[in-house]
Amino acid sequence: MSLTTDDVRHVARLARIALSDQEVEALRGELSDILAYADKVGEVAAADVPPTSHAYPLRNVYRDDTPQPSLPADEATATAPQAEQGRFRVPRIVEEP
Amino acid sequence: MHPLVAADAVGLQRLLKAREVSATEITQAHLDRIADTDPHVSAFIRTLDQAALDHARDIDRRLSAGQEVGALAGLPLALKDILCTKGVETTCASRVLQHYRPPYDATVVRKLRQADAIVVGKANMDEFAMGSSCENSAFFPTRNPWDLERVPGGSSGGSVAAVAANDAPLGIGTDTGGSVRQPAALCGVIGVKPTYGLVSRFGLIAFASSLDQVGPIARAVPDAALLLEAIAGHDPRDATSIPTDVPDLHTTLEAGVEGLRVGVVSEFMGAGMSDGVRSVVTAAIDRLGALGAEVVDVSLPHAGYGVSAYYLIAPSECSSNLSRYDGVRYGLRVDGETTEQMMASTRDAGFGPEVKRRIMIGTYALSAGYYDAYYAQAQRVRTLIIRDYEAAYAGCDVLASPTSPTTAFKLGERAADPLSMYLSDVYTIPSNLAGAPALSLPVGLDDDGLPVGLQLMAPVLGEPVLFRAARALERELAIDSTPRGNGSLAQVAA
Amino acid sequence: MSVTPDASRQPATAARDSGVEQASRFEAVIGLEVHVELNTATKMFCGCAIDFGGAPNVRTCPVCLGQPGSLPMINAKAVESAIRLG
Repeated sequence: MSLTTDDVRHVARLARIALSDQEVEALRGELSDILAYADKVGEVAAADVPPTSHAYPLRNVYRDDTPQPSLPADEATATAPQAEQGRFRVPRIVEEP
Repeated sequence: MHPLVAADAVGLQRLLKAREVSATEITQAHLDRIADTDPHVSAFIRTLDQAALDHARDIDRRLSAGQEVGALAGLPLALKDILCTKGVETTCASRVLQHYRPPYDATVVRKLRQADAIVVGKANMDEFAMGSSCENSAFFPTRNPWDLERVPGGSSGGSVAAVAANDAPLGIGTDTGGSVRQPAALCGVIGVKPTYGLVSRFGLIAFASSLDQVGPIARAVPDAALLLEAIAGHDPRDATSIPTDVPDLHTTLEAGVEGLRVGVVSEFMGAGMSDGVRSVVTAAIDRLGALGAEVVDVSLPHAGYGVSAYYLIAPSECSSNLSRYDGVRYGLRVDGETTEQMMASTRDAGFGPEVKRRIMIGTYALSAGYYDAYYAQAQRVRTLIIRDYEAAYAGCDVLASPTSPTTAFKLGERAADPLSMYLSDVYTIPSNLAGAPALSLPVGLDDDGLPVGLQLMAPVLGEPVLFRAARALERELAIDSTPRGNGSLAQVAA
Repeated sequence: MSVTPDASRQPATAARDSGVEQASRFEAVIGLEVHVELNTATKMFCGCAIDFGGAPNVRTCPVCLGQPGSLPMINAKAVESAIRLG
């Protein structure tokens, strides 16, 4: 498994990380090495072996439809880097017409 | 060293119940100890002196009034900075959460408070619990009290180093691939990874949700049992929490190992281990035999694929869990012209190299066309490892192996090679994949005077037999857990 | 709704056709995407009440804000309603 710098940039775009050129180059080699090691999982476990997502199988774990207290109004946005009038402030998402 | 900080938790409780010391005296002695040691060890991101003393005084007031106090009353505890504490910075040792004050308490934190444990500080760790040396903290590395030039292990290195340095008799860590057991081994203390689902994950900042588990750290097995009993139990806010009673560890704790079958995992006794670890671990297993256990060899044929499976499953889950850090609702924000630029710049500045590496691996492994070959295939390997354990436990009560292939390594020694760091967890990862309990017990020192840990493993919900075996060996070996020797904390803090 | 031109009925001189003739050469394929608001008392993954008309962000909690460490719990009534709807 050998990644190109374009592969790394593509994955960085998917992961929403604005990597520098140096980071892209370093990650190209590191990710290739790690994935080559991880590739060993292909040596065992044929397709008839069922995958395990959780070691302790619990099924149908639900919550009653009973309202619980929400956060006090001033606490919901208290952790936000930018808030305004009880709202989370972000850069404009929709372009001006 | 002040006798109150040298004492174990059970001993402190006895003194407190007899009213020979107050919770305030115990707490003050430990805060003084932290002031002496932490300039050398750097176990804490933040100490909570005032809150700790306030809580201790409240316990003393209730004791004087003849009122109830909790099961951990007056016992100082180092809390890994990955568990949410309402209104108190919870950083995960990351720049992205450097000033984050959660609006709620983790279930474990709530239980600790109800039990009247005294949280003396939030402990350092590898960023988002990703690492095996504590060097991936965004703030500073923690040092090993046995040799200040060496790492304490990770990711729960701060909590473990604090317990080893007598800053607190109890610590809380989290273990996703060995993050409690490996540092416990490297610092000569006890570290437990309970059965997945035994301790609530609500309020534990997620790294890999199907593997993460909160675990106790202590200098004595009965102390670790006391702490686990206090934090275990079903939580309706965690869908993966097992609806079972809190395990009773104390009834059988002193029952000894006579008649128990201990399986030595052949695959974990092979190449890659240092000679010092091999000889100390082999001697400890022999002592189990001398105590009346039947020692047999067992095989976990697929355990060797554990690291490969882990480095697909954990990063995949990490890439999903860490997508929430986008600079909108909490944490760091780096401005950008568009929202997407803001998010991508925030994440570049907020995450350290190891966290980015794992997000990238996970994003790649889950991306179109690769899911079956990587994530799904790794989960099939997980099934094989679980079957291996089931076969082994058909003939054994507990399994034994080294915890870590080596003793503590020097700061910087493995920082440049991610893969060599990942292999620190080769013996611990399979238990996480199987969801089964395991612990590390200090069993001696290697030729360099550094602690060696023995890993004991048990089937799912087999904590009683796990603690029973560990307690028997602890009593037999009577290990002195005080860091000593050249370069140790003992040379700089009395 | 999507409208797909049927190539087999496409004459060479489409420009002279009337609107009706043109329409007759298209086959209408209609799909309905129906959004149903379940009459649950709380949200899908947390216990925040579903009430309309409040100030922004007042019916929020660590779970629905995706606060670090929070975990979703599925609303049993929502699952039951979804199964009933088929």
